[in-house]
Amino acid sequence: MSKVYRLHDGQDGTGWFNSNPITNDQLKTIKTAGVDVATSIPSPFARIDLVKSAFRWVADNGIDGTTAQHKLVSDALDVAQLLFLYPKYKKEIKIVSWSPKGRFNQLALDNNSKHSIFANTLNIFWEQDGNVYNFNHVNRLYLLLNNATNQVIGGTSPATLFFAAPDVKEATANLNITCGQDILFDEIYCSLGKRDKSFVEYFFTLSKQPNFADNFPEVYSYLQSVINSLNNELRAIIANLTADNIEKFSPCPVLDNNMDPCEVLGIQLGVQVTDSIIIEQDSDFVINSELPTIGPKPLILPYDRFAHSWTYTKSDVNWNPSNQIPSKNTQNSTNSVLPVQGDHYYWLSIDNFLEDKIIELPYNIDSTKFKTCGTKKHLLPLTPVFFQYFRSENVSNYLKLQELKGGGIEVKLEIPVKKGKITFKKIYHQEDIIKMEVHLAILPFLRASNIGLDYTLALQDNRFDRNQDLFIECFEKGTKIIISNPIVRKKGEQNTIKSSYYKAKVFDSIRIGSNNYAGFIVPSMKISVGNQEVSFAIDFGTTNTHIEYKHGSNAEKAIDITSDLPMWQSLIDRNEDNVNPLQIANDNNFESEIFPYQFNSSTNYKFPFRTALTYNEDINFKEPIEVFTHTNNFFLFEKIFYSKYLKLHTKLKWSNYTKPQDKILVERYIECLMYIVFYKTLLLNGNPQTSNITWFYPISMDSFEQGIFFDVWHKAYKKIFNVDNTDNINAIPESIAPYLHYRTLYPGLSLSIDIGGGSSDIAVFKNANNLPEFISSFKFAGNAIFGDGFPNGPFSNSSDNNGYVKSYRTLLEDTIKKGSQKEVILKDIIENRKDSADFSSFLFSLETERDINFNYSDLLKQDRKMKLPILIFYGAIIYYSANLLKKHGITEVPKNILLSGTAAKTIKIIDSHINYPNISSFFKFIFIKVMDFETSNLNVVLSENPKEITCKGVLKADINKDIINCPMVFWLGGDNDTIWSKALNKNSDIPKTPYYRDLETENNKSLIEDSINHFFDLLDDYFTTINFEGDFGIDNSAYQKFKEMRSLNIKDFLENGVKAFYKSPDKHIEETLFFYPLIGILNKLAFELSNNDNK
Amino acid sequence: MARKLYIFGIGGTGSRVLKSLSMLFASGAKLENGFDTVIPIIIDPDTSNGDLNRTKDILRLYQEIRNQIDQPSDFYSQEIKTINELANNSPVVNPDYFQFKLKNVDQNTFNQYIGFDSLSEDFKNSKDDKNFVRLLYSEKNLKSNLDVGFKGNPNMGSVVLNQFTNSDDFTKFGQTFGDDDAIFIINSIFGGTGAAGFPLLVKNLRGNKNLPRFAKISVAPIGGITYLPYFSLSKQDEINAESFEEKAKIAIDYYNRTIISQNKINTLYFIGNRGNTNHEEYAVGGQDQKNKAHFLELAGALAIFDFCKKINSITQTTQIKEFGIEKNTENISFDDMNIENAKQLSSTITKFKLYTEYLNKGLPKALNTARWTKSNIKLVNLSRQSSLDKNYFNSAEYKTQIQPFNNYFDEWLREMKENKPAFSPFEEISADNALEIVKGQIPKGNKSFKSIDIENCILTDDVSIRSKEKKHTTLIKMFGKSTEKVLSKHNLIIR
Repeated sequence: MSKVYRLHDGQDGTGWFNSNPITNDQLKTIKTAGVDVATSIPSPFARIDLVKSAFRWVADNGIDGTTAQHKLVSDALDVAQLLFLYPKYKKEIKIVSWSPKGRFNQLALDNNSKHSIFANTLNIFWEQDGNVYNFNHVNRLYLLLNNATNQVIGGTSPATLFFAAPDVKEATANLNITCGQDILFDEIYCSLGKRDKSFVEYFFTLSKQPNFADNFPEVYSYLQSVINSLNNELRAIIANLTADNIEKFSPCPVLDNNMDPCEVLGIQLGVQVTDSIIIEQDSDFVINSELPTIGPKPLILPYDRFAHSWTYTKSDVNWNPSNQIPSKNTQNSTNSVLPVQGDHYYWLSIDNFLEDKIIELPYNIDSTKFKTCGTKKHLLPLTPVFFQYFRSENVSNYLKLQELKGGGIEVKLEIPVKKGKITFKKIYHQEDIIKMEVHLAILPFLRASNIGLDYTLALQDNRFDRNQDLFIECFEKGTKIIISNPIVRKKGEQNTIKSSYYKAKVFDSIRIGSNNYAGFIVPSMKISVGNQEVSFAIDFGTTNTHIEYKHGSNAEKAIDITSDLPMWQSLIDRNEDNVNPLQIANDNNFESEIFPYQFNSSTNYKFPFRTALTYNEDINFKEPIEVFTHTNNFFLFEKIFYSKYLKLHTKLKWSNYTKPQDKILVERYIECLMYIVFYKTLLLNGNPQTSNITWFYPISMDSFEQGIFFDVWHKAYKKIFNVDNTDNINAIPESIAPYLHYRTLYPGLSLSIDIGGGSSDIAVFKNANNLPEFISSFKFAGNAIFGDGFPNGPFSNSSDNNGYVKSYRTLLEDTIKKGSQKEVILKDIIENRKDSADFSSFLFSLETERDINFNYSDLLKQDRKMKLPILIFYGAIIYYSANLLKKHGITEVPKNILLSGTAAKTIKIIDSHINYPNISSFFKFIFIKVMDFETSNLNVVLSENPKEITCKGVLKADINKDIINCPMVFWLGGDNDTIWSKALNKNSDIPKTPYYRDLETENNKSLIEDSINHFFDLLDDYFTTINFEGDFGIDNSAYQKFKEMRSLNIKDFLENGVKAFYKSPDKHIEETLFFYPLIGILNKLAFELSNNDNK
Repeated sequence: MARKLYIFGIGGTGSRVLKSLSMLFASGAKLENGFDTVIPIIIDPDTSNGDLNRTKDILRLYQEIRNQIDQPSDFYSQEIKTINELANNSPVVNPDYFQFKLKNVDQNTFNQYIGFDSLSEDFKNSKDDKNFVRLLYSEKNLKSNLDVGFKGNPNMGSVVLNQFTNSDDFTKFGQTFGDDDAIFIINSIFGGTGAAGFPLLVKNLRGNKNLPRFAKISVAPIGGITYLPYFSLSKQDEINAESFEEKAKIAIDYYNRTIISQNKINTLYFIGNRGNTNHEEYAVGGQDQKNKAHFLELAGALAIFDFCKKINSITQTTQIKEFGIEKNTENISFDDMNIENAKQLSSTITKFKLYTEYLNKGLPKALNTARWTKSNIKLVNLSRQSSLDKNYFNSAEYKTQIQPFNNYFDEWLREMKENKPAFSPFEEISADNALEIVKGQIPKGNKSFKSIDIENCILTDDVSIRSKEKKHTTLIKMFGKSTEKVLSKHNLIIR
């Protein structure tokens, strides 16, 4: 038996005999384990050959296995698949090209001989083995690099299409790319058939390209083996593939340049068409959102272990419970890549929805007004992402907060997805709970279905550490809306509360926080449907402002706000027991900076309110100034102390309208009133377009002032009600309205006298008409009694010289609690502002206060001196009215004197009997004396709420147009046969009306003086006929005092008046001059009476 | 016209086959078809390799001895030259020229060798050469030291060895290549160096246009012998014998595809041995790597004879040849081989074996006794006095050339005998039974060295074997003839 020295099985022979090349079959007879990859290929391109052999070996020995050969094939397929998935992993990998022939030639010329020798060697092999590995058909090779390290992962091979670099494991250490159930480049080798379907299809598509089997015989054999392992469906798909199918894959780009595609021997490589539509269709994790989304809907990926085998991306890719998901997708939808699978698709997980920290307020949040989702003090720890998909009003359907017994907050958020819900659970431990002392108010606290409301957000920052600014963001259906820069109303120096105000358009949720933390506030605002008609009457008075409204068949009533339907709402829950009073106090800042939270008949605060406005200290009148951010109507003036950091303005109505600043403040005041009316309309489900507003103008304003006044109201209305025309806003003279209230009760000729703070209006009505015979107005009203004489000039703010202040200051100071708000208010009035009218207003207002026993009216009733100016005041008005009636041609004494206006209450001080018999006879006396007609009875009527009836009257009368054509008449004050003594029509008689300068000539001042003295004479006559002390409770000594001083300075006071009311010498006289001296006289009288200290 | 055979012996196997070839040449074997000069070029980066140095020493001795023989016609008749002698016509024997020395392999790592660090990584302009290299070589490859060979990584070896094609030696090779010259390459498929060098050399010979006389060389007859695994190692380490066969398979496949099917070589001799149990002491390289001579190396030498013999009938299509013996035995003697091989070996090494045995065991008795050792015989002309006297045998040339070479020869035979399979055609002899030298052959008559002495004495007067200038002429020629006569007379040579 012969022996041939060889390893394989083959033919026999002896000596050196002719044999044949060792065939593959013979090689197979050399049994080896295949465990190690032998590195015996004596070529620099051994790696290419090894992979080529490995494909053959695996095809021959079984496509699945754990040998080194299987690894080579698996790694090559991994390279192929990663190239295929390039679009998904753009960030992680790049594809570069390398041109062997070109580089060999260049390197051969390299100055570095090592490079040139190396290149020559490579070139020799490349050329000599060109046929074997198709090197001679290679233009370029393509290398797959790890972007982070630039390490090569693998490349294209002209022998096997793809191959992995020897150190592929190291090169991919940071990648961890999963395709379906396979992790690329791991130690578990994966044959082609077990890979993602789309990749299998792609690979077989490559194999359909011309000459594939010739160029890549080993790979082809491998594919033939793989086919047998496929399911029928896939096998059928592959059977139907043609070369053209390659077109459906986008080219695999070099350096992301689609115009530079990779190819292997002319076969263009493709990439997976990332079909987000398929994922959106197939995935069970697609969000089931309430709001429409732009682009594909995101997947909601569970953060905690999720055991359901739901479809993750596509129908053949299921969720693996061991999938590790980052807590947050930090990429936007364009760059987002699905964890584990790497598809380009948007996804969200726990931290996309939930904040890292939760904010806790020091007080309970009003859960009837805000969504609290289970706990009491916490802002919703949601991110804005949640609101992009779900309606804020439904937040409590998804979010549950629960306080844990040991401290901490457990948050459960359920996001609905196609197949069910994904639940995110998070526990905020003590260190995750951020305590933040802030207060927030929203104005108006309502939404209107069809109206784009403007909102004011008020933020009180009482954090101890304010190194980081608070921010506030508003969202509407998940979209952040633009809000204004904050206007700081209170700077918060020395760690006091800082208040900032923002303007925003419509929103449904608010995000608040600082750089590091934020949380959401979702208000449950009333939704106004706007189908009702509401009418309002607004009485902007000198001292007080009143608004009444009427809707449907309801009686007219003062505008009111209750806590169940607030106009503005802050977070704090005021209904809760044991609320920290400090927190309430802090929250109450809103009442000073906006307006009272509640006002209605059963609360401390109600209309009418004091006419006052506060504005920011640092206001710049050259820039836009807006209500609530820069100014606010300070209705609680003298109820609570006005905020010192704001400037106070009280005499709004009689501002100098030629002064832009004053005008702006009036405008804002009226705008604020208009807002309140507007919001009330919405709260009543009123339709702003059809709602009616009636306002009152004082006819004592000159035409210039009136013009401005009309303009201001109209502008405010148009702006706030967003109505182009002014059909539904009507103005009527202040004089008319009160009568409209009384007229059905008091038939016959009526004189309506409306006494306000700054002016009084009279109107004369016959026959219960809507329209009066005439009306008149004069600046002789409450302030003439209690004020500092003339409202401007040297008289003003001189409470030190005011008789009432002098008389009652000490008493009040003794009564008022030390350290109370009231003390502060009082101090401010008499020490800072020195406004005597405010002093008395404040004293009157105390009558309704529960916590103080101080009745100014009663005190005055009992005051036997200080009542005298009041009596004279009324006498003067009647004297003037009687003259006017007579001069106008009225031939009878009025049957009814209908009193209204705040100051009209003072009539009770001088006559406390029902129906005012003493006053009635006093008035009757004057009428008869002046008019020279007899009369039997005279009703003096005063409503319980004299201020309110102006508004009530107009609402009753259902006025729907401006009343501007009433004859406005006045009597200059003379009593001879000149123009000075006539009843002049304010409009038609202007040409013949004297100028103010005319006062200086022809002794005209004496005409006025004579009338006043005539009035005094009448008083003396009357008081001598009655028991003066008994009827009126006034000491004769007081009257004597009056007699002594009354006529001393009449002309001087007349001049003071002209100056004080800004009357220019070149203007026609527009109102009576009769009262000017009286203002000064009464002021002086009161002072002198108070000096006479014998009470 | 002188015809040359260039033999590239790559790696340890290359050296060992060249050793066997040298022994055959010393024994009088001669290449056919006019190949009168053999130029061995050993390509082995491992300069301290024991096998290499032994072979180089043998080749040096061979040349030194042959240079002291006037017109050798039997023993040492084949001329062996270094490429340097050939190119420069230099008579100086310098064994270093047998070996091509690789530069830059000491202390260098592979990446230093190829200048890896200064390669471009400009991927933007398609010049990321570094990553291209990384695609082919692992970091471990790149960082491995080159000074002890290529540790079983012929993909690195192929690059390093290609230094040869840029060397002066390679240029000299091209320059001296004659029209009828031929090339033979010895390599092993499983080691580092040999596996790497062979395809590289073939590719250069067939494709390196920078080579002088490239046109001729690219079509010149090239033969090669590839050793598949024929021994295994005693220790598993970097050169993993377990993977020898796996490597061999892949390499064969590679040869099939890149050399054989591409017809890059005219004749390729494959030889290997499966399931051998002979373990060599493991050595990664260096002086320790000194493997015992093996029968298959002798067979490899025979392939060279075969190649030259068939040189005129070679085809452009690669002819694969394999080697077999008649009888499957682990203890091979001439009878077990095919007749042609048996004749070839029997007629040469039996003679040389008898010659070396005689000098070891016969000469001491004969010296100064037998006439052929005496130069002081009265009545005999000075011209007929034997030159192989005591002085000769005591001469430095004898002691430093003949004796060491003979020792190498004996060692060679002994090692082959001790190896597996054992090649042991000879018996242990003494001076008295000297002619029982061939295994299984018991000659008739006197079996002592006496018959050698007789023949030598006859030859003493033969002027044709005398040379005054060349000291070994008489000894070598005398024994060439006397051993032939004695062995033939006793039918101890297979004809």
